[in-house]
Amino acid sequence: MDKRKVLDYVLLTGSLIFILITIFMAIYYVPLVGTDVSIVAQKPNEYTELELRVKGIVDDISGTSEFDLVDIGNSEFELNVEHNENLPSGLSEDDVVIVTGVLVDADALVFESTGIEIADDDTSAGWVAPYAQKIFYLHTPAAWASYLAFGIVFVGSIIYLKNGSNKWDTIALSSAEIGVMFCTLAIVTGPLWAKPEWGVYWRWEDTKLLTTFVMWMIYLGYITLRLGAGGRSVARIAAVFGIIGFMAVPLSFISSRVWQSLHPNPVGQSGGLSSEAGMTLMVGVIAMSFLYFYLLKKRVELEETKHKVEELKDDMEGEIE
Amino acid sequence: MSANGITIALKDLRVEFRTMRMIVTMVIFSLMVIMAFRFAFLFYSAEAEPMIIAPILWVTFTFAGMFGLVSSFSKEKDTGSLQGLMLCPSDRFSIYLGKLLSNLVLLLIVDFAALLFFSVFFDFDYGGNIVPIVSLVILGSVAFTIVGTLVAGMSVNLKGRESALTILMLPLIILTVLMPAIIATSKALEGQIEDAWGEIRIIAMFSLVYLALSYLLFEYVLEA
Amino acid sequence: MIEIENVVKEFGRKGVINGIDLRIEKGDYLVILGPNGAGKTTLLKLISTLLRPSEGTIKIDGYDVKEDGVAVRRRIGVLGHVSYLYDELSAFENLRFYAKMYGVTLGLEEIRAILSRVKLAHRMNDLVGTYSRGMKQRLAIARAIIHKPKILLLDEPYTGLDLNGRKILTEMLRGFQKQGITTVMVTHDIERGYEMGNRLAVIIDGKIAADLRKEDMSIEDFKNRYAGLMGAT
Ligand SMILES: Nc1ncnc2c1ncn2[C@@H]1O[C@H](COP(=O)(O)OP(=O)(O)OP(=O)(O)O)[C@@H](O)[C@H]1O
Ligand SMILES: [Mg+2]
Repeated sequence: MDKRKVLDYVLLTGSLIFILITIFMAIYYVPLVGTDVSIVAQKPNEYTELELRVKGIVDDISGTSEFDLVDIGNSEFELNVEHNENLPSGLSEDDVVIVTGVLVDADALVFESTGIEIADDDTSAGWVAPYAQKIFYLHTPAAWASYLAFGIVFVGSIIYLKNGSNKWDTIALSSAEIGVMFCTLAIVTGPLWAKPEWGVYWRWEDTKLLTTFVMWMIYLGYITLRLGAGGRSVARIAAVFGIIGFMAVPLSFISSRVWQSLHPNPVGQSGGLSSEAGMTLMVGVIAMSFLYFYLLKKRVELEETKHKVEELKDDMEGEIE
Repeated sequence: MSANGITIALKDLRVEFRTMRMIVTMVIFSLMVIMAFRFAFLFYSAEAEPMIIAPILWVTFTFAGMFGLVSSFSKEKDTGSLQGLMLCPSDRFSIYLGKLLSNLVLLLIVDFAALLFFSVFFDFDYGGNIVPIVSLVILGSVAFTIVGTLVAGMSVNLKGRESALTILMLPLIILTVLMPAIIATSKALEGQIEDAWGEIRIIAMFSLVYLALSYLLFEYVLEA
Repeated sequence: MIEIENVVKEFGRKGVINGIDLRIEKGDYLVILGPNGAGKTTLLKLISTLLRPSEGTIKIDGYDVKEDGVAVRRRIGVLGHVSYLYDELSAFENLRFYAKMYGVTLGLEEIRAILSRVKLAHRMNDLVGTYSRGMKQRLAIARAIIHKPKILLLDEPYTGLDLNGRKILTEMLRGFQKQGITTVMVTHDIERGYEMGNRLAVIIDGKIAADLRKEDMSIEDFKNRYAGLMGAT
């Protein structure tokens, strides 16, 4: 087996394995960040109605469910629903929820609910949809891979302009295409999370979303520019555009830090991520990087084959003449 | 370097004012865009809905401006006189500067015409805010032309020059020029230009960045 | 004066100049011949910094075309396939513009003098758009020499000129040759090439197929060799 193939297999299996690990970790390793629910109510009796103050809650409630109520005095209870899958979505902090139920065990303060009503469902910031939140382990690594890809476009463009190396031009072109693919993935998965979390698919007023979208447009432009014509002056122009357009990448990357943004800011913010989530994210990033390099390698090879075929065709035409 | 830029700009403007080819087209184009907006917002009045003013103005400037940009290179590219400029013993950046200046002059003429058309068709009086608005229009146009001249130099070498210009240029200016200019102009219309410093700084900063990039890259653009 | 070393030029991936080495000494009059599409114009464009070599180096007077473009351009006068003139400006305005660009200040009389060398002084204030093909070529010649270049690069300079125009141009070029100006001229006219040059090069498929001194051969010899080279392809 020749060496090029070995690298292919390493990259491909690497990306598949890491993707699988990411999926497993996202499902089984990272705890659902269901968050605390404190009850502002009188001490439960045999049968009572409780008002819950909710800070983000899990899926649907159906039927009966049990909560652990912890007495924290002053007739307030803290109810830990971290792993509870039975509360309705679309709630956020300070939503008041009325729970009707039966106190099963007064000593342990175990409360069995029979129904839940939402008293006030105005949405505000908070971790609302922990299940949808799992998409984050795909979304963020995809975004990361697109930054990486566009970075390579930038580097390739500079090298191409400096010494006219066709190889780097091919790398830049291939990397841009793959980058747009990853960026599209990030832009599509974002709304899938945003809908349950924010209640809307997209927020035009958010700088992170806006800058990322513009970055996507720029590289879409880059690809369009290269679509039409084979080679010649286009490569040089594309390289110039690959350098100018790169400005959008740091802009998108830092935007949620520099300007106020509703977009969560997972990397490098204190207390932003639990260590489990951080680990999973890391694995996801590794997976996507492997996938990126695998795709890049394949795409570059394809492009080079294309040029070889064209050369052969030219030669043959020459001979026929 | 800048002396040659001015020589080129003066030559361009002399040719332009002799033939009036672009300037008339651009002014009429801006008139058409304003008219289109007038009909699109038939039942709105600019006095009553001030938030429509700045977007209408800047969209008009943008499209009329892009209209003029391509031809600033394409005629010379096609006749070959662009090579004549490239043979002159000065930095290629001076060609960029020359085109930048002549494009800017044309764009500003069109901008002011559009401001006038807007005020006529939407029956709108800029009143005491005219000075800040005009200043913002100038600032935004400078930024627009800095990007536009570079991108026009690129797209003149591509197939479908006009569409290439649009596709490449819009994403580059949306966040860096267009949006801040619209926001700042809206603030100026409310008589609160002081609040627009942030936007003005963004436009100015990115203008410098794009100017620096043009300085570094324009020679590669031309030689394509 | 002009040192071309191992130059390659590719458009995209297509090699147009495929490794050219050439030294042109001061005072040389090099005539380049070759079939259409051989790369003659491309070579002149590489020397004149309009194109950038993909590989190899070109030096003019010791200045590298890639690094010291400005110094190179100051030393060369180029007469290309196209005239580089503006149809919307008069002959006078065209020359004044290019003179300024070359950093020479020319007054009305000086420009008139230059124009009378190519017999255009009487049409000085007419727009170039109203000129005939040959008149434009004459004006292009005036444009190419406006800054008194040390090196002339001429791409088929005789195209479009009438008998009189050709005579004027030949005299001018002879005059420059006497002044020690280095000239590179691309032409398809073997006889004129032989008559004007002291060195004759043939480019085929982006390579120097022959590089000959005139002293060594008669025009018949050269015609035969040229026909042989062309036949071989
Ligand atoms: N900008 C370009 N892009 C792609 N190919 C080009 C370009 N310019 C020239 N070529 C190709 O390079 C080759 C040489 O062109 P060049 O103009 O140098 O030929 P030439 O020797 O001057 O021919 P002629 O005698 O017809 O003037 C041709 O095959 C041409 O198609
Ligand atoms: Mg030619």
